[in-house]
Parts: sequence; structure tokens; C-alpha cells
Amino acid sequence: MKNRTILFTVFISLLVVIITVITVIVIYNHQLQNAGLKEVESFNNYEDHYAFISEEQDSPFWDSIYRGALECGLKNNIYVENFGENLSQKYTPLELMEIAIEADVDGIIIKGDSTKERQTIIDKAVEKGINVVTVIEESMESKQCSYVGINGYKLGEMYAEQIQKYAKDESDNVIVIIDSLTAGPSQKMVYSGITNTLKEKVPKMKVKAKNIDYTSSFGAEEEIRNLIIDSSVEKDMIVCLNLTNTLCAYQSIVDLNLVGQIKILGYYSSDIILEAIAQNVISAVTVIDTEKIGENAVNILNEYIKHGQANKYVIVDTEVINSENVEEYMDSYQAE
Amino acid sequence: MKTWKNIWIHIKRNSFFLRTKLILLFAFVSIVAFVVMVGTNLYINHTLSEIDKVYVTNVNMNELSNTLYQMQSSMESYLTTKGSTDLTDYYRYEQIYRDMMQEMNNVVSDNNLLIMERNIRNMSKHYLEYSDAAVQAKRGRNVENYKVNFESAENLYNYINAYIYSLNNELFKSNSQNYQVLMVSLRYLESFSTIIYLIVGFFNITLLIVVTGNITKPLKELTLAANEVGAGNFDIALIEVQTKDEVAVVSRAFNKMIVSIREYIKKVKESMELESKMKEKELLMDSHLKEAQLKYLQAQINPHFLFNTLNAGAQLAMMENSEKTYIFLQKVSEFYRYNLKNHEDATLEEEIELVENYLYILNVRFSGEIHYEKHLECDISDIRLPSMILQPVVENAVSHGIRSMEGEGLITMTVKETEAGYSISIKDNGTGITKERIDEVLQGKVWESDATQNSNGIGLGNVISRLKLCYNMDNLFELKSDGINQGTEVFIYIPCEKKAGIGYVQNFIGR
Repeated sequence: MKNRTILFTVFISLLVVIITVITVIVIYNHQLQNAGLKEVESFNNYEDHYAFISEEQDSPFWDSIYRGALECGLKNNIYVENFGENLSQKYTPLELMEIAIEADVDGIIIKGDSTKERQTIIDKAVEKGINVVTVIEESMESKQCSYVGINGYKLGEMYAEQIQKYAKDESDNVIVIIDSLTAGPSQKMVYSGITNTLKEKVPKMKVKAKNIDYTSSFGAEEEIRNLIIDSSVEKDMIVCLNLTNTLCAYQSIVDLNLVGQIKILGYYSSDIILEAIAQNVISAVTVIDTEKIGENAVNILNEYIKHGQANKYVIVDTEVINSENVEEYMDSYQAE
Repeated sequence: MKTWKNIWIHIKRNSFFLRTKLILLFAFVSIVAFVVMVGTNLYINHTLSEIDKVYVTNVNMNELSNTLYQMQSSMESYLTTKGSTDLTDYYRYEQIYRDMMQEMNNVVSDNNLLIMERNIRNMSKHYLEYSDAAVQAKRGRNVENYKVNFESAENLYNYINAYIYSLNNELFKSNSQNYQVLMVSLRYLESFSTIIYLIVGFFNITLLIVVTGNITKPLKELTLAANEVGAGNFDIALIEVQTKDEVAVVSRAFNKMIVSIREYIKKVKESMELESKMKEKELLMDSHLKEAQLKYLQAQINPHFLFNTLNAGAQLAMMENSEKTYIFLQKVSEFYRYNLKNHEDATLEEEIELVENYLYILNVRFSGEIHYEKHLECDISDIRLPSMILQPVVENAVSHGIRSMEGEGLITMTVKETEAGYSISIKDNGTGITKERIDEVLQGKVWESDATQNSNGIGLGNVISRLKLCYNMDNLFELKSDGINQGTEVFIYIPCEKKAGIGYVQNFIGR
């Protein structure tokens, strides 16, 4: 055997050893990744930090607004934090806002209302140099930079149109459920829009507001169920102005086997609601482009930080989903 | 560097000693095994240190929480009692807390844990501002101020604690998962390192087999060759020597031995063949002599009676004063006496005398028809040659050349000295001989028939054979004729030992 053969054997042996070691290391790392070792290091850095304070954690409505805000922020090198999401302790939106102020965020997105407390905390943030954009509802008296949401009165007019469309006759009894605690100008404006429009167009129709008490946990569901059961209250149609109330009304009508007897006009869409529209349990819902709200809120904050001014009042379009167009929404929902 | 160069040169030349080869091989195998072992150990140690570090973040969070608590407690105590120890404690913990804050993340990122850390850091910054302001206000006895600041600090303290608690929980979840993964990975690593050891071991053994095979192969070849030689087979291929180690030295020596033995055997064979050939020649010679002698014996029924008779005839002729008859009978008697001598060689003088006697007898028989001339151009006293060489030639000349011609026949004998010996020419003026006949005579085709017709029975073939056997040379006999009626000349060449150094001829004749 020649030297070349020996050298070749040595070379092949070394090569096999090296390939084996590399293969084993690759397989080992692959196994580690499959096992799910969390790489704390894998993250992106951003220039600014905005706090999004959700009114209701794990609500599809608020999650959708947050999603819009987050995506728009990431495109603009801003991280929008769903504030309080990872805290084991539950804090109210106002407490979360206070924490956000102390955490020196660059901007805050929060639902406004007409209460003094919210107005104060918004003012405190603005005084500390943190811009605040209110969404869905505004704190008109506060120093908020801008409001992004809906025109309550116009929404009321849309509801009135749907009431006329789905009413059995002109003398129907319509109950509008309003959140008594947080019912700010927005819901009141919606209610005004409904009543004024109906008074004008269908004067015989009886429209009543029902205040729901949120002081106790799960109060809304109980009160709505009681309202439906209560035979002393005449009702042909229930109008809900938020997602939770819509879902509660739908579930009660189904449970009490009153489908067809009491009609529901709701607010916002989810898979359950779309299914209910398709089955004619819910007549129609009014939806707003929630992701657009989040996106606009972030854009407004950017404008403020860069230029010191921005549009004070941004309105997002509203649409109606009913049995006629529900399939389109179901398709797009499934596609998502 | 020089050492490596030397090793490389040795590898190229394959000139390592066996010991060095084995040391290098085992060193290489050991180094590979060692490197793989160290590599896997490092990897295992790395994993173990990762496992050690898994809960470090939780420990840090706990320390942060404890320090915050100690700082808040000492601040509260100081605000309550204004104790100097509390103030010292407060400042001490504040410093520790500030140091810990510096280690925390301050970058906006999309990682939940990091963004929580940043929030804690920023809140802590404000908390320290409030707490410092409260302590300063207390020292300055500004009651309103320290109460406000304390409340703000306390609020923030609660928020920070909640944050630390939540972050600690999140870290714990993540760390627990990582811990489990690392423990699983450690088990994987054990299996993988075993696989690596097995594969490396397998290839190391393969390498050992290949290289030791390379070392022992020449030894095996040598052993096989030695066994073959031991069994008596010397026609084996020589061992191919490619290395320059001890085995190569032994192999070369073995090859030399084989070559020497082969040469020796060849020489012995040649010598034996030569001896056998010589014995064969001797036997052939004997056979020819015996043949010639037998022919004479057949011709001489009772030579002693014939000699006595011839002698009696000679004496009678003498008494009757018939000199010619006396000479004739004397010559006949000498002729036959010569033939009866049992000798193998004779002098040229004796052979010439025999020829002369023969011609005399013939001339008496045929009334002097044959003339004879003799030209001796050298001293012929020392010339020896096989007996009965010239007479058959002369007899042949008379029988085939002169007897059938018209006119007087002449036979001329000439002896000359040449460079290598002597030349004897016997020429007749007879009928001559064709070229074809000459070839047939020289090729021995007419010997047998010729012999039977001859009176003495010794043909030219016998003469040619005996000359060849005696001197071990060809072309000692030559037959020339210019054609029909042009006569014939026979040349016999006698090599001379003194001139040509042919000791062998003389030795042979002498035996």
C-alpha cells in the first residue's frame, strides 16, 4: 500500500469525524429548537414607545383596535404596548394610564369619557409631555391631542334606519341598552340620533333607554336576561350599543326560545354574531373599522410628536351587516 | 515548523522506521479521540452552565424586589422616626437599587419581558425621585411636601412591585420551560456524544487496521516468499520494496539471496549439461572407431595367417632373387599390419606411409597406372591426427576418380602449414565430381552406399565424422572439383594446439 492510500485513509477518517461532529451538532441544535428553547435575545428595537390602554382585556373589539395600532406602529419604528396585558394584577384603565405616565411612554391611546378622573389623568399625562389620543369616546374637556372614533349621532341615525327596516309595524316597542356607568356623550349621542330620527319618521314607535348597571361583575348579562324575561316591559326589538351587550342579548333570546319574537340590533361583529345574523337571530349589527381606529390613533400621535399638531377629530366609517351581506363578511372573516 | 517539515518529507519518502510509524499512528488516533472528547465535554459544560444560568433572572428579580422593599421600609421608618440608622439604610439600599437599575433594559423592544423591564426601570427612576424628595422634605421638616411625595412613592412602589412580580412570573414561566428543554437537551447530548464516540472509535480502528496492515503486509509477503523458497521453488517474483524501514532492508537482502541462488543453480546446470554432452561425444567416437575396426576385422579373416603367408612369400621371392615380388609382398604385409594396429591416433608420417603402401599395391595390381606426387612444405614430424584418415580419401580418389578415367592417373599429396594448423591436400586428375554430388557427400547422403562398395569399407562419411568428433570443429574436411574430367581435390585441416591454443583437441586425442 502506498503512502497516498494511507494519507487518503487518514484524510477520509478526519473528514468523517468532522462531518459526524458537525451533523450531530446540527441535529442537536435542531432538537433543541424543536424542544422550544426560548431565545430571549430574539427581538427588535424601536425608537418610540406608545401605551395602548384597553378598556376591556381579551375583548375582540379592543384587541382589533390594538392590532391596528401595533401594526401601524411597527411600520413607523414605534412599539405600541398593550399596557397591563402581562400584569398578573388587574388594574383599571386609569391606573394603567398612571403607570404608563410613570413609565415615561411617548404616547398614550385610551378610550375617553366625560368623567373628571379620566380628564384629570389625561391632563396629567399631557402636562408631563405625553401626548394622549382618545378613541371610541372622547374626553372633550381634557387636554387630549385628538379623538379617533365614530360620530355618535350619525351612528344613531344608522340604527334608526335599521329599526325601521326590521320593525314589524310602526307601533313597535324598541329598547336601547345603554351602559349607565360609562355612558358618556357618545352613547347618549347615539341614543339621541335614534330617538330624533324615529320621532321624525315613525312617530308611533316607542323607544326607551335601558341603563345597565356595571357595578357588579357580570351585571350586564343578568340585567339583559332579566329585561328579556320581564313581561311587564313590552319589547319587540332590542338595540345594543356594544359587543358584550349584543352577545348577552343574543344568548338570552336563544336560551329563552324567543327567536323571531324579539329582534336584536347589535354592535360590532364576531364569528358568533355573524353566525347569528346568518340564522336571523340577530337582524343586523353596526360595525366600525376598529383596526383603522388604532392605525389612525398612532398616526395622529406621530403627527403630534413630529409637528406639534394634528387633526383633532378623526371619524372612521361605519357599516351595517345584515342577512343580505353577511356571507361576504363571513368569507373575509374565515380568510383572516 | 522544521519538525513538521521533516515529518512531511518522511511521509513523502515513506522512510519512517516501524517504531516511528507506530508512534505517529497512535499519536494521531489519540489526538483525534482527545479532541472529540474535549469538544463534547465543552459542549456538555456549556449546557450545564446554561442550566445554572436559567433561574438567574428570577434571582435578580427577587433581589430587586427585596432591595426595593428594604428601601421603602427604611424610608417609611425614617419618615416615621427620623432615625439616622434608617436614613443610612435608605441611602445604602437606594445606591444598591440605582446600581441594579443600571443593569436593566432601557431600550424599546417588542419583547414583553424587556419592555416590562424598561417600564420598571422608568418607574423606578420616578420612584427614586419621589422617595428622595420625601426624605429631603423630611430633613427640611416640610411636612406637606414629604407626605405628598411619600404617597406618590408608595403608589409607585405598589405598581413597581406588581410589575416585578408579574415580570418574575413571566420569567419563571419562560425559565421553567428553558430548564426543561435544557434538561432534555442534556439527555440528547449524552446520546449524541455516545454516537460520536462510537463513530470516531470505529474510524480510528479502521485507520489502525489499514496502517498496521500496510506495515505487516511486506512481512507477510516475505514470509510467503521464504516458505516458497523453503519448499524449493526459486522461480518466485522478487519482493517489491516500497518503504525504507527495517522490513525493506530484510526484503532487499532476501531478494539478493534469491538472485544469487538462481545464478548458482544456472551455473551448475550448464556445467552438468556440458559434461553430459562430452560423455555423449565420447560414446559416439567409440562407436565410430568400433565400426571402423569391425569393418577391418571382417576384411581380415586371419591376419596372422596372412602375415605369415605373406612373409613366407617374401622369403620365397628373396630366395628366387625376385626383388620386386619381395618388395610387393613386404608392402602388402606393412599395409595390413598398420591396419591391425589397435591405435586411435597416428603421426602424419605413418598415415602418408600407409597411403604410399596402398598406392604401391594398387600400381602393382593395375600395372603402374597411378602416379603419385608428394609435396611436404613443412616439418611433419610432430603432426598427429586420427588414424586411418588419409588412406580412405586416397582410396576414394582411386575408386571414383582415376579408375574410370582414360590415361594415367595422378594423385598429388601436399602438406602445408597454415595459420591455425596444417592443411593436407589430396588431389587427383580423375573424372571429377559435380557440385550436387559434392553437397551430397558433405551432407552424408551417399556414405552408406559408398561404404559397401569400398574395399576397405571406410567411407568419407566416417572420415568427416571422426575429424569432427576428434577436434570438436566443423569444416575440417573440404571437397573441391572444377567439374567433370577436371579432377577432385580433398583438403583436410588439422588444427594445431600450439598455434590455435586448442588444448582440448590434443587432450581428446590423447585419451
